[in-house]
Amino acid sequence: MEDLVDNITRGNPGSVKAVLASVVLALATYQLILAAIGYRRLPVIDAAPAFLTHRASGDAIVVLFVLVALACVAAFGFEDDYALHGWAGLAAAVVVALKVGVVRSGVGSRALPYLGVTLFALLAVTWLTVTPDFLAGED
Amino acid sequence: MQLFGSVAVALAIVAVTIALVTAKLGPNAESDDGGGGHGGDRQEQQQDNGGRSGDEER
Repeated sequence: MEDLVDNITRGNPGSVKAVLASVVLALATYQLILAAIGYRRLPVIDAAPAFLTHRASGDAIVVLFVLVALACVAAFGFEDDYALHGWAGLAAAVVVALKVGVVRSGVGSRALPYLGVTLFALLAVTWLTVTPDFLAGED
Repeated sequence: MQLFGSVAVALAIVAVTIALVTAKLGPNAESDDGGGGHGGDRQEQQQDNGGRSGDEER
């Protein structure tokens, strides 16, 4: 698996991960705005197109998140120095699974805004605990 | 129309993010420090290639 990730990223798993994780966080931020529009907290456009885009963007985020998580675990594993990063990522994966389950089943849909905000916070922590230092070239 | 607009904004966010982050990476990065920490791979790649980056090799 590690060799596969290394081949796909041409020996730059950290750089590819930084780009994809940043796209995930940027889209997640947009998700909050779209949800606020959908729940009429920010009535910029109609709720229906906002929720449609929210759903499509969310699907893209899930795909990217799974790819980044698999690449991260395969290339770097769980390191003690990045325990918060690992736990936040793991918690984000659990919340993603919960959110997808709630959306698919329709049960507990009133919890979706809270799950969404929690997921955003966890994604932000996961990104903040590695990517800024990586982009700054620090150890 | 609003749907296309909101999707276009999402695509623009993705494009701008990729542009901003990749600008910080690679041989022509704004910072010459190289990647470090959890994903510090650029330094290794430059050493493996005798100072050339993976992109230059392609």
